[in-house]
Amino acid sequence: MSLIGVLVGLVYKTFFLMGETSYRKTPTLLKLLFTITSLTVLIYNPYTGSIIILVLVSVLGFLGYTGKWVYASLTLSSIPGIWYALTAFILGLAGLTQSITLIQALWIYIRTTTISYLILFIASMISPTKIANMLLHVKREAATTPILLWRITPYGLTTIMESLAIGRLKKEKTKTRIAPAMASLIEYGELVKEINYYRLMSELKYPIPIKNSVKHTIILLCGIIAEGAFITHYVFC
Amino acid sequence: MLDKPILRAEIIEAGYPGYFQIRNIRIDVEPGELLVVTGRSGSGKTTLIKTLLGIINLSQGYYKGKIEFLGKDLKKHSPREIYSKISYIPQDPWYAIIGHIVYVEYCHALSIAGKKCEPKKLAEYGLGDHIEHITYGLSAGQYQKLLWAESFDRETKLVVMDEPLVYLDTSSKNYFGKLVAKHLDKGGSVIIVDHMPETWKSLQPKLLVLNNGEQAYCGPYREDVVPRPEKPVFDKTYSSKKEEELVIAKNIFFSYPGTCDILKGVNLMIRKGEILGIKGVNGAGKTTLLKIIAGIYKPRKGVVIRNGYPIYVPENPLLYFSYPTPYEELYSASRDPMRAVKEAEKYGLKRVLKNPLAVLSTGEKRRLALLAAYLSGYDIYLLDEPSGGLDTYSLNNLLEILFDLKRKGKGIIIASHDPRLDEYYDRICFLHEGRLECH
Repeated sequence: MSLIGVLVGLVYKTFFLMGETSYRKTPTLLKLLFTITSLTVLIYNPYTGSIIILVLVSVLGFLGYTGKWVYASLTLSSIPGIWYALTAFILGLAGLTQSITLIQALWIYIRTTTISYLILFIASMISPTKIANMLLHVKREAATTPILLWRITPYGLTTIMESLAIGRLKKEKTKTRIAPAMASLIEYGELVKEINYYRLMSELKYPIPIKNSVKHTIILLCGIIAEGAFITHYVFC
Repeated sequence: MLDKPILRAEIIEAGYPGYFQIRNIRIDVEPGELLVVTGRSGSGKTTLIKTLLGIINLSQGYYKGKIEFLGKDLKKHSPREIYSKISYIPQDPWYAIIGHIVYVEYCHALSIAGKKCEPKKLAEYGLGDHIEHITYGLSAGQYQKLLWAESFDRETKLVVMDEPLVYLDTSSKNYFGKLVAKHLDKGGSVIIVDHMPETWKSLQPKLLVLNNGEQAYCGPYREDVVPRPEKPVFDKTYSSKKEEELVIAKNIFFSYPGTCDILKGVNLMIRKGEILGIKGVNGAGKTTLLKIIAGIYKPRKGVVIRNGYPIYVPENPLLYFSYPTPYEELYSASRDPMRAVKEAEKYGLKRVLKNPLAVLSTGEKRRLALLAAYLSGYDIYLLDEPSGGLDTYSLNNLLEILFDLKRKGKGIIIASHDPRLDEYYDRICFLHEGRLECH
């Protein structure tokens, strides 16, 4: 598979593999609390904190999503991690910046990867349905936007993946396949606009029902408690 | 019948400047009436539907004439009014979905129309196991079911459907046929574009036949006005005595992330010069199996041995193309400009050779994708709903290609719900609950 195909697949698996399930079905306040406690852990102890967050997010990922999600998200978040670590190390060796040891480069990798991994986890908890329902009270005409975005983005990604796969069967080079893949995306956008014109020009009248998942609320709560325990230990001991 | 029609259209001219136009079409659709629109592929059926819905101008189209809905100029209705009174199921159902989850899509549609939703009702439409499923993972048939569900539960006065049965399995076709009858009984009106208008004969429809963009017939249903070619006879023999196996799939297991196995120990073999049909209910895994055989998906367990180059032609033909016009696509496939033009002429595509793909009808796109694949000379052809939206003339073109491939010793696997293809298969396999049974 081409590099572009692999990247597209990773983004798809990280953000769009699951529907309105798992941590998306947890209270918004709990998600905010998790974000705050995670950032606090990282700020109080950037080194041990990074390891804790890395492990915690992986455990939460395994429990709430799938192993494939953990693998895809870790791979995706490793890209900036490798980039920062390598550039810092090489530029140091070349004398362009302060030189660093291999261990320091490894820490740069771990910390950058952890932050990216955490961002991906928090982003994957965002529920487009809940945002749509919130917008219904604030800006009614924009309420369709989040669910439409969560529909057309993964659909577009699968379109690209399928188009690239057919290109491979047709023995075409990936770079020559990009243009038709993009053209089919533009065509898709045009047709969605045309066919759903009246729907998109109208406003939602009622919220879309969504129930929270007790199981995932408890799991996320446990994660927050674990982070809280670490913060307490760090502050008081 | 009431005096006031639900829809009254007098179309002087409509279409896409420089490409295709429909002319002089007059339609009245009364409450409780079914209008079936038929005609050859590219005769203007979808252009007519887009004109009637007032959306043709959104894709650089235009229309001259008058369209009245409920006694008032269509343009004078607000978008919300139109959406809550007219449902539209397009030929390519995936374009009509806005929601990311099945029930979100359903509830969103109902909410816009001013109705509260009950997601459990989706079970009545055969989507009970998919209520929380992501919409971008649905099969074409499941897309159609979802659109049927939201269209009929919105209780609109007019339902407009473009080839609404193409991707549905037999039991769903029967169920949805009854839904249309119920809607008509309640005084609702329905416009259906169908290449097989006889499907709706029992509902005593009004028939509109289009020919090259013009109204060839409009009146009570009559068999003799439906364009139908002679049934062709094909030489089904493949001359080689060698029964070489082109594909052997052994013990294939496959699951999408986070779901149970959709394929459970599938075994399949196809020989040179064989046409194999795969059937099964919507969402059974037919497309998935084709993609595994093509090498697009990797099975979780099992192995696929291919003795030749495969090609997969998807149900959305747009994904197949590499070039912006049919001529370039065919030229690239054949590497011979003369042959590209000759084959295009043979398969009724000469008229659209230089047109951008965007203005081709679905039937034209499908024929073009098949023809380009045929000219490229692969060994294993994996065709997903190749006859969807094709009229009987275009179906004969498709069959000609298939039998030519067969004579050349190619292997063809077709996933389709189309009963018109059944008699041409050498073997038919049924995919049921993850297992494949071949006869």
